[in-house]
Amino acid sequence: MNKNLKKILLGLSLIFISSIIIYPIFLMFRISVSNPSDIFKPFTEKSLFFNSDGLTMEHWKNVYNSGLLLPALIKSLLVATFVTLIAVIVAAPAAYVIARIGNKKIKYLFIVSLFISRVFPEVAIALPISVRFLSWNLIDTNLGLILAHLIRVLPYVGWILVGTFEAIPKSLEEASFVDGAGRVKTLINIIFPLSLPGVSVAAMLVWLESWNEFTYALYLTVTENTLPLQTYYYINRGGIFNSAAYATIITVPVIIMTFVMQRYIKSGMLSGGVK
Amino acid sequence: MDEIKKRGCEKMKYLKQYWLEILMITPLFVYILGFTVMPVFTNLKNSFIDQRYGRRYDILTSKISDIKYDIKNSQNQEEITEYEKELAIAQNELDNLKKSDYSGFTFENYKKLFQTRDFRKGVFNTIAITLTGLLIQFIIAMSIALLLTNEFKGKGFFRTIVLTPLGIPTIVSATIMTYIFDISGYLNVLFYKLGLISEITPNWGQGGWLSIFMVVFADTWKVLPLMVLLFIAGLESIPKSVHEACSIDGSKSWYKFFTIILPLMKPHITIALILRAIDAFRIFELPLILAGTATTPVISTFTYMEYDRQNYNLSAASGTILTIIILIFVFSYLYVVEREKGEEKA
Repeated sequence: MNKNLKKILLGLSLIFISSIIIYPIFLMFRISVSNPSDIFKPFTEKSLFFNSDGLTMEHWKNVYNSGLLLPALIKSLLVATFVTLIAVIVAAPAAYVIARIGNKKIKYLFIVSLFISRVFPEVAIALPISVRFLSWNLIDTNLGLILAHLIRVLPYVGWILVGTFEAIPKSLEEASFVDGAGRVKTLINIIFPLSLPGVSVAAMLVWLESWNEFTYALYLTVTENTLPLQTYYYINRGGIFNSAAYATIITVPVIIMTFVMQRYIKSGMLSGGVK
Repeated sequence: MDEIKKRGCEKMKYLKQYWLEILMITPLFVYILGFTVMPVFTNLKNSFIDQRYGRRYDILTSKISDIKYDIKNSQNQEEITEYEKELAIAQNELDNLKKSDYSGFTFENYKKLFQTRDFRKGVFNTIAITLTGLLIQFIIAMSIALLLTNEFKGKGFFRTIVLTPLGIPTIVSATIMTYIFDISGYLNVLFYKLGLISEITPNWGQGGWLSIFMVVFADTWKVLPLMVLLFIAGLESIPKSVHEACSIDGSKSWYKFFTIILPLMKPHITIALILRAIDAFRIFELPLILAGTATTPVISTFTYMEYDRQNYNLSAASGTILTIIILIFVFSYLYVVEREKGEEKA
């Protein structure tokens, strides 16, 4: 009896937790395909799950036809892709060097400085950056936003990749030296292929971070919105259906990538701590 | 003399040996120096400049550079003399400004901050959101992590569900939460269906503890997976023999949790909570979008609003205070991690 009760309690709590986690995502999708008559009902008649007036693709058509989706989508895609490329090119070599530093104290210092530059509040950095970018004519440009996103992203990639490179045994390099390969050659032929899985996971995380980024975009944009900013714009104007559609669009690549990466993600990677 | 030469030689040797490493590491740290460290110090500097001086200075310098640009691109001699007159006036104004009482070092911005009601409210809200958030997230995440140590059917599926919000962008979670916490939103609908409220609905965005709860709920939904992952890692680090010894003793599971598991997990918990506190203090999108800055400012949204009103120096002061708080957290985090390492060795 006691055991059965326990089982039921366990099942109930699992269902309770799962529904709280899933419901908001369901709601977002549901609103984006609902008729206004369902959503704007007086709240005593609203249903939590079901639409009495059926579904509609109207809002998706509106979003597509408004002419605002494509520029925002392209800007977000371009910025995220370039941020990823530059971040990996700049941070991977540095991470490799940090991973190979023999002196423990110096190494610790480098890692801590990456950690600290990651946790500075954005609102404090974005102000001087936006003033500076204004005089450099970088407001509202892709380049400006790429440079700003790199601020957030570079220490993060560097920090993840230090772990990746540390996992590659040093003996492999030494063997390559013994075989007479130079340092540059060893890097390209031995280290680079071995680190590729770790680098790709880091690249995906960076891409997502830039894709989702809001604060710097808010500071550095006047008219050329990214997808998150476009969503914010609709929230401010009370455009509930448009914001739901935009939010869904932002979420799709995120969910795909998260499922791809789930096997490789370790808790430490995301928290950004020093271990 | 020889000594210096020798040292120089050693430096050269060092450079020759490590040129590749130095080449590889420099770009990253130059970027961090230029685009993170420098802005932080610029902010610090700006926070000690009087607002009246700072704004006037910005206007005048941009005006001067505009006029200079015009002079460069103008062909007409008459126009140029006209511009030069303007330039002289602006330059003169700038010189006067530099001599004025406002110029120079001042604590005015910080004084003003603490006299501003919104900033004091922001500090209170930030602390309230951090503390209640940490407490709630700790309890729920720990419960889920403990649930996940049990073996049951569909555990993998449940784990996937719990981890789902991990990938959901903050802007998206904020968007959805506006639907849920709207005055005729779905939380109130649920409360109505459960018979908890009648026609009069709580307005979650009105400020005070209701809004704090709203932000905490949204934040919790988003960060719970991360906390669960950290706690699972902590639970897994406890040796199996400890669990077995407990079950042989026949001790009650609650007793076991509080006397054995919790103390053993203390390092993991401390680290997770400090990391969360750092993030909670920087919280920006959720309060901005959900509660707005009028009723529920937090330090970061206050900083943004002052920027939006072009009170750059006041914004800089508020940003600097936030930076200092974060740095205190970071160093306490590093201190804790170091101490744990020391204990492990001993």
